[in-house]
Amino acid sequence: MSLNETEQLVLLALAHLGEDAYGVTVRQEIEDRSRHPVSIAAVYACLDRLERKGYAAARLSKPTPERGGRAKKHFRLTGDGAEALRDAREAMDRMWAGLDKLRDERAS
Amino acid sequence: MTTPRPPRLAEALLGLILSPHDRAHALGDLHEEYGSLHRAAGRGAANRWYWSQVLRALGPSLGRRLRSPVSTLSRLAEQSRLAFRALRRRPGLVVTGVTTLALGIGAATAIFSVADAVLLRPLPYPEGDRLVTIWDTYDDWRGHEVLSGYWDRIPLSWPELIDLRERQTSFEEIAAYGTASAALTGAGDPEEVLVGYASATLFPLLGAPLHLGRTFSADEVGQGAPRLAVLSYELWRDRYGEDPDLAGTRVVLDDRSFRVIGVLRPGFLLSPLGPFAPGIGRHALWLPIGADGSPLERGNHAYETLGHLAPGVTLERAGTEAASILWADRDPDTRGVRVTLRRDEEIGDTARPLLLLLAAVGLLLVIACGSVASLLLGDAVGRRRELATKSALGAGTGLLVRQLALETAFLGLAGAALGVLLAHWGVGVLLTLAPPGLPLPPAIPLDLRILGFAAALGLGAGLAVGILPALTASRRDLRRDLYPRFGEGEGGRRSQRALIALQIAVSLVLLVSSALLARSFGHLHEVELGFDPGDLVTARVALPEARYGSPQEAALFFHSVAERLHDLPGVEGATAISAVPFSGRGGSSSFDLVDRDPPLGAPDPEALRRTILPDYHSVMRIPLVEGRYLEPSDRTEDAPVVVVSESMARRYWPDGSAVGSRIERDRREWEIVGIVADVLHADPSADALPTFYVPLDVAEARSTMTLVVRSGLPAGNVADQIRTTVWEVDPGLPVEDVATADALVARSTTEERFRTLLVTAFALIATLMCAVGLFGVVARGVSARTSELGIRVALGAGTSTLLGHVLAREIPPLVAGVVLGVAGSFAAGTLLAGFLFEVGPRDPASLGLGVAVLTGAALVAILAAARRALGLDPLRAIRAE
Repeated sequence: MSLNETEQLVLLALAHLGEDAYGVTVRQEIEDRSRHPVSIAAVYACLDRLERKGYAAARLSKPTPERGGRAKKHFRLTGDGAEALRDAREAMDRMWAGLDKLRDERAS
Repeated sequence: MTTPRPPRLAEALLGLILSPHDRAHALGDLHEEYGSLHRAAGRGAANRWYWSQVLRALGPSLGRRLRSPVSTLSRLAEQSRLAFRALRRRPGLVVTGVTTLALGIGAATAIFSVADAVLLRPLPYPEGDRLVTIWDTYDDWRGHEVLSGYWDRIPLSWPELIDLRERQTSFEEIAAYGTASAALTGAGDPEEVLVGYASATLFPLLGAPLHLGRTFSADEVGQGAPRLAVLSYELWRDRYGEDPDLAGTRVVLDDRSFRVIGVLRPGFLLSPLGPFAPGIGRHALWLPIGADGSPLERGNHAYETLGHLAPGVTLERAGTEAASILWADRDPDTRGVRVTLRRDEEIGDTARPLLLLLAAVGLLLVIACGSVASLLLGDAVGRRRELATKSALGAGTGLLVRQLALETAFLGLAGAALGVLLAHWGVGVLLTLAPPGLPLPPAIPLDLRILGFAAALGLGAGLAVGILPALTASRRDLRRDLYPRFGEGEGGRRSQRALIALQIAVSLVLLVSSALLARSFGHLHEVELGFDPGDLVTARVALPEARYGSPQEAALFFHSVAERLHDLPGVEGATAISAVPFSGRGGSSSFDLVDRDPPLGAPDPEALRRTILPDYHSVMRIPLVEGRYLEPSDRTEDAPVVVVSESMARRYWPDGSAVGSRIERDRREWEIVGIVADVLHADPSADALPTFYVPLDVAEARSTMTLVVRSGLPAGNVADQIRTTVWEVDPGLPVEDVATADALVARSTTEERFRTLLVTAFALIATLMCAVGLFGVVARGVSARTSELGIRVALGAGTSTLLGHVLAREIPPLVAGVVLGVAGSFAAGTLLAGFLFEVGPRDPASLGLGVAVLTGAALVAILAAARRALGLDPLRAIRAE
């Protein structure tokens, strides 16, 4: 099953963040790296989907006061998720193959 | 240090929006991030950010809810998809259903909107509900041939108004106005304007409609009123270019100068019917009552009187009190006062046509609903199997109801949307078809009440019928529905046929009604008018008293204009009369019989009086019955002579001795020298009124006459000739109401024409809907019997046999509907009797026409649908099962 753009962004953020991945950091990671604003609700909608597909796994941590006494849900990239990311990347690479000129135009 | 807390409302909203699955973590994340932002950028920035997160959560979360299998919204979306799919499989039902609903909703809305705007104009005044008109009544006029229409609607005189205003307690305020016309000169072509004479209380009573300046004060009205004028906005705009400094300057009216003190609001128009008939658009100018010869004596009932009833006072009590003030010590036996709601006066004549139209709208909607219901019913019969399958697979009644309701709702929404478009377009069409005489507003908005009502009714009927099969599906024997045999489902067909019969009946009622009205209208045009209106052009000229003070001058003017016109190329004859037929003008006079008693028990003799130039009757081609026409040598001051109409001669001299007899009026005796044929003066459906004609001369002068020219030239050229000729004699005179006699006659029947047009539109649309509905139902009926008919074809049934099988089912409801419709048409004819002229309410021709058109349309629909059965391929037909 192929991944859409948001799903790729979220999975890549999980890979970057490792142990630190949860709603706040995932959102910030995406905003910081891709420079596209994204809402927490969109992030959760996507994480929820990825979790059901088996591309991300979640665990709950203890509630803390700065979270209004609410638990934190940590996410990590699963093996299937990493595989899906690689597939997506390869598909894109194949599409880009031979298009160096197009890719470099922006830089020049 | 306590952690900063996000806005509670925002947090609560997010709680509602986010799915329960990750509500807690998401809120926790946001809380945490809010805290960081609060410390870094301050409370304001943090709050803004949090709210932006709330707004941006709306989209994804709702989307997720829709996709989540447990949520209601998603079920709805799923069922909507199913409903769409189900409808896509039945294009016939969709097309006929949507068309029927759209036609019904569109036509009802368009026709009602126009009728409402044209016939039922609301009073544009504050507290219009409490506004009343105060009339004198005079019992002696009851039953009078000419005056009976006025016995209880006599305007008040100025002294009566003052008495009433001082002593009454029933009204919060009383005001009065009278109308006239005058020539406005200076600044442009001379123009005849309407002149209103107003009491000081009139404008405050009607909501102080001032645009500029002021209106009259109490001491400027009545005896010795100064020459002041208040202009209508339209006059100020068109003639004076909205000059803001006009107040204080002078305008010249009938050669007398008036000081302008104010300008009224736009739309406060004055018409010959008073300030309540908008849309006539004539320029108007108001003067104070008492100024410039407006009558102030007690006997001169010149002013229509309005009032605001005091709270809690009934019309009867107000009338009784006013009568006791005005008439108790003078003439209590025959005189009285009647107080009526102004709105009733306004609507009066139009209430019945409006009710007629409402009835027609109602019938149309009945047809639309019946049509949709029978379509869906037919559809439901064909879907038993599908529903039974769903039910067998575990779908509950609720689910089935929801699905059918959704399908019907989609049909209804599509129909309503298309209906709005049709209505919008229909209003435009009706307006272009409307006769030019009707006072139409420039734009007519769709009536949203009737639109909503029609849509709700159509949808409601559809829903009621549409969900029936779902309600019964779970209760029935599923095996029967799953494996139907021939002839099953006849119950639904029976109700369907009943509905068809009902639609046919209602359509027939509408068709026959419109035929009755159309034939009646046709008769109106065949009426013998008494004169030949072809090639006649008329134009009214009013002479200002200031310049034409003496009767000699006025008489001389009209004689000389008529003579000049007569000598122009193409002119066959030119004459003048005080009021030309069908102009809505002219009055009557009472007279006495000389040497003869009036008919026993009859009211005082009274007849229409017309002042004419001697050759009037020959120019109008009004035949002479006895004696002679008036001649130029007839001089009123020497030997007064009159010519009377045939009906006047017959009434007062039934023994045939009219010529040579004499009548007395104006303290003179007039000898009757001739009898002319009767002429209709106003209403082609009424009898001709007794009329006498007197010559225009020194003793019988009129300052306003209508020139009548018979000429073979185009009417526009003749009109130019008339203007040029009048202005050759006096360049300062307005030439008004230039019209052909044909146009005047046509104008008098505009309402009949429009009424006929509207009802005919209704009837045709009803027939069309009926045919569409019939086609849909028969087509579905035939396709439901595909396998049966296919087997018949396979067994060798020929075309005619097959057609006979189809017709045998569809003809009985048609016959039943026609029978029912004929009965309904008799009832409708009785209701319509008041609108009919020389057509009986059970006119066989109208009935025959209606039946023929309807049966024709129905047969075409049935045959078109049955043709499918004829082209049937037996193999395919049997396989369909």
